[in-house]
Amino acid sequence: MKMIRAIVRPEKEDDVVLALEGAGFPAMTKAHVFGRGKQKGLQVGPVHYDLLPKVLLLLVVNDEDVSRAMSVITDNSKTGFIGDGKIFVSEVEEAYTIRTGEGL
Amino acid sequence: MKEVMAIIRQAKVKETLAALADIGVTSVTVHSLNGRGRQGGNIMESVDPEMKTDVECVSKIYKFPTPSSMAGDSKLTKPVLWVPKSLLNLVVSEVPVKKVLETLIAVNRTGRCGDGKVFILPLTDAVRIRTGETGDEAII
Repeated sequence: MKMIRAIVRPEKEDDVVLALEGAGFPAMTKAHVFGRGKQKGLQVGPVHYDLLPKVLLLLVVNDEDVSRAMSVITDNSKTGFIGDGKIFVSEVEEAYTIRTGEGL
Repeated sequence: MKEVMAIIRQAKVKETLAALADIGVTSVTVHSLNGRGRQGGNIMESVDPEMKTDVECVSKIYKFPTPSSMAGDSKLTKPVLWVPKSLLNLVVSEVPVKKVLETLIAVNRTGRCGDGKVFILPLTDAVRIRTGETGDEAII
């Protein structure tokens, strides 16, 4: 199993979540976070924004579904401009459902 | 060294932290966030008095449009809700992961939908910023 952490634009959150739902990934966790990338934030005239609001989506999927979930996220959050976000994938050794106490 | 990520009910955080302290796990990071599971976040059908915290929050967020309710062409018949949850993030090396897992499940298990998940991830290194110690020393 793999954990996908996707940092996307807040305005794209609904698109991504809906598409993931449609693709069969209804279970996820989201958090509103602040971050910056290579460009160290955003300069608008005299104002510098160091940290920009983003949405962090966290989902755990089976190994064979990783590329599909990733393409759903990229297709729906891509604008082609700086600040589209990142997707991180990490290994999950074990996963348990608390309600039943059983491993997935 | 393992990272344990537990997504649990917000109402159970205090109890869980106390139980973890009892087995010697005192360092925990708690995040407050929203989540949903296989049921698509719709917990209204499994509402009961013991889920008070969740239900109160849900009745608040229920008024706002959700992704599914906004999409007219969605195939989903019920609105999808985000349920407030807490994420406990802990790194363990000394206490066996199995013991932590059993504690988390024993405390948080109610048998109803929305109890949450526990994920165990491998971790390659840790650093204690104050002293610069790395590896297992950093988290003991």
